[in-house]
Amino acid sequence: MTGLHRSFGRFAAVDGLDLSVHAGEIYGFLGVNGAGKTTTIRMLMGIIAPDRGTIELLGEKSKRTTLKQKQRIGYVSQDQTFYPWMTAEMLGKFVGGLYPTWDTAEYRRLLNVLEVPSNRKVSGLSGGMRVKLALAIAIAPRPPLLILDEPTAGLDPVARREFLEIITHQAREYGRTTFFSTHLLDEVERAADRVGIIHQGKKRFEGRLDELQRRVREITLPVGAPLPDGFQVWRDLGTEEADEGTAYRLIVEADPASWESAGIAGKKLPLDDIFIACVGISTTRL
Amino acid sequence: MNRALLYKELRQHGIWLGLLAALSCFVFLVIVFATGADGSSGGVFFGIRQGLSYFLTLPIFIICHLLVAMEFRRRTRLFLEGLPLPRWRMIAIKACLALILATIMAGGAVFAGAAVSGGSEAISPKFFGILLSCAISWAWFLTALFFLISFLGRYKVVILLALVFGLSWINYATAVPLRDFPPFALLARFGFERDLWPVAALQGTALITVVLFAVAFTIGLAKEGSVAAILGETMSYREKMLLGATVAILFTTVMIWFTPQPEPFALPGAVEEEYDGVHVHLSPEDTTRPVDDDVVLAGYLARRLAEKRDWLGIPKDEFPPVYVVERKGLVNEKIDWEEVEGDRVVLMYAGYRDPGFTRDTLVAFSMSVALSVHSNRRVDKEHRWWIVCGVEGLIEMEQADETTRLAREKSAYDTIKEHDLTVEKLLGRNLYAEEAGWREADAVAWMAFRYLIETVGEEKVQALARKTITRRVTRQDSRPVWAELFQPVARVFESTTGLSLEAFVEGAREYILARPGAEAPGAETPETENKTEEEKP
Repeated sequence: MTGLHRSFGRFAAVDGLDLSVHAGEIYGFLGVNGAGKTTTIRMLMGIIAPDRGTIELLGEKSKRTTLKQKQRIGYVSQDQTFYPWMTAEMLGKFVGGLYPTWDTAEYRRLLNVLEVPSNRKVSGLSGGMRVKLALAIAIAPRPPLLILDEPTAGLDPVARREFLEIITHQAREYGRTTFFSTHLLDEVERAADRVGIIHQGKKRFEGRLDELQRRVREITLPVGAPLPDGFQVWRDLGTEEADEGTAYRLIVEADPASWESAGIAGKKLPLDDIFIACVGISTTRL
Repeated sequence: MNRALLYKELRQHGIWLGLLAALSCFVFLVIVFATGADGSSGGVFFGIRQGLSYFLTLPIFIICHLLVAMEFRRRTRLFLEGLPLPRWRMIAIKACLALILATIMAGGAVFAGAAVSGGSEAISPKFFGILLSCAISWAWFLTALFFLISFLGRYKVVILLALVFGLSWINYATAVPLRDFPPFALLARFGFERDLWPVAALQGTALITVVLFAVAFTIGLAKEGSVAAILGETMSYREKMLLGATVAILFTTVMIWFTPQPEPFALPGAVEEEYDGVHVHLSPEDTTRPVDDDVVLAGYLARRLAEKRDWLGIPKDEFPPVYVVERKGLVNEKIDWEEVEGDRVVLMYAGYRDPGFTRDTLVAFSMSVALSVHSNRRVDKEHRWWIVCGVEGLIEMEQADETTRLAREKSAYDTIKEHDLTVEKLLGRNLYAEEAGWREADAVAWMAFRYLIETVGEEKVQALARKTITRRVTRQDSRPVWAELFQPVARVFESTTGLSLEAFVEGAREYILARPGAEAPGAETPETENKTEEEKP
């Protein structure tokens, strides 16, 4: 997607977002609550139209996702709002009529594998079961692309782990491109090949997680000392008294070559520190 | 895709939709057989017409509610949005399903009617076609209407009620012939028109149906379906209260402001005379007798009333027509009057052909009733009623002979002697009249007015009357209430005559007490009585 923008009244939920997801990879779309993840996914699914920008899905470029493109996407939404009176079997019959590539046998197999009872009404299924049912519905048409909008929200740790294993297996086994949004770092660490971090509707980072860790480090800088070119402060951690006098503690970002040329080692950070610094980014330049 | 959607709708609502369709067909069958068996009921198709008009609205409303409102009220819409399914198609399938069911119900009724009545009357293909097209067009119109209303979510009941009340009001309270306009024109001659296709009604109804569906689709698709979703949310407590209050206020306002226009009052066979815009009708009890005297009396009444109307400054077109019905049982110059509901007329009953009847009494009484009718009974309020009585007395005594005047003076004198007169008694005139007697209180009012004319001049008295008792008030007009609040009679009296009420009452007392009058031998005073109230108007 390029330059994607969507406002609700005066509030820009997504503001000039550029993201690229490579075929066959698992892409973790990371952001805090309200960052614009769901709005982005709703635009990808054609549920809402972007105000500006273009979307290229499965090799087809358009302003808004078409019906044909949608038939090649498996989608699991944030909330599983199925008809409560339907059983999994009925749901398969109904949804199957909307996908030309629907594979009933595969759907039944998935229900079996995922241990979702096919004759029980949706209203009688647990939250975890419903997510698995949603996943079975999303996978049964054998789509080349899976889009999952915070699918594990509300699941217990065991169910979350199980769910992630299923989508990882599906992606690896069938080469299925998977785009999933989350605000949980351990999920992307566990499953994603690449991540995109969004904050206040804007992209903060896109790339591999190890690259992110190489780019973002903590440094201590004496007061008055200049920050080398190409370094950007992501977070000011305050001052500390050192032997040489007062110094700033900063989380800064620079490409790996800049770190090398500046001769600064910096302190490697855990991902959650980087994420917090990323979404609370300071524009202050020293 | 369509099959999948149909499958979903039928699985979800199939039982209810089937039950509704079956129940409707059963009701129509009952109507058909009942009207077919009863020769006095207007025929089978008359029964079907009644069924289409009233009964069919209910199942179609429920069908549309099930198909549309239920979908948008629940969050299942979010699930559908994630599927490769255009919103318009989802709405279109629902509309088609509703139309099919409506067609089955309306068409089934016509088929059943034709089958039952086929044995007793000739049903040509053209007649059958007219019946079928009208019934189905009507059913489609209802479907489109309720389909749209179902999209209005939490406001649908309010809008539906407003629609029902609005149409009922137009039908009963206005002269608009609703049945001449589509879609109602479709049913106006349903079952009676055998040869002419109701082309205009069919075209008009089709157009309305299309427009209603277009609006429904617009709401359903607007802002990516969020408009319908927002409308589908449950009303908050505050919103319910606000809307309830608004509806109640609107309803009350409509009921008060827009009342049905009754048939104009008429007295068939009455003698009518008109003078300068005043119409007087006299209706004699015995129509075989010559009416020459009635014509003369009616002409006199009209002329005197026109004269006094101009003195009071009432516009010609506002003065109500006067109807006097002869009632021989009313003796001794007794006059009854009656309020005609919803019509501004003066209706009185009097034995006016009685030789002892004084026509000026009738003139004066007519004027007091006319003022009451003209002001929508605002002048009956006690604070200004004594002014009406004063004016009435002036009219009645204007041409009276000396004996009558002296007798009236004596009546006033005796009343003051016995009951005195204060500002409170003047303004609380009805209490005073109950205490002293109605004719006695009238006599006091007349004498007080005489005193006023002699003290401040006729012009000021005329100005006072014009300011206080001649304002035309309609049923909806609340201005007199405000005027009475901010311009009380006492203040108007003082500003117009230059006298305070206290000074006036004191002067009037002395004036009356200085004129003891004289008893008229054998003279009897006329009595008045209201049919609706104890007191005079």
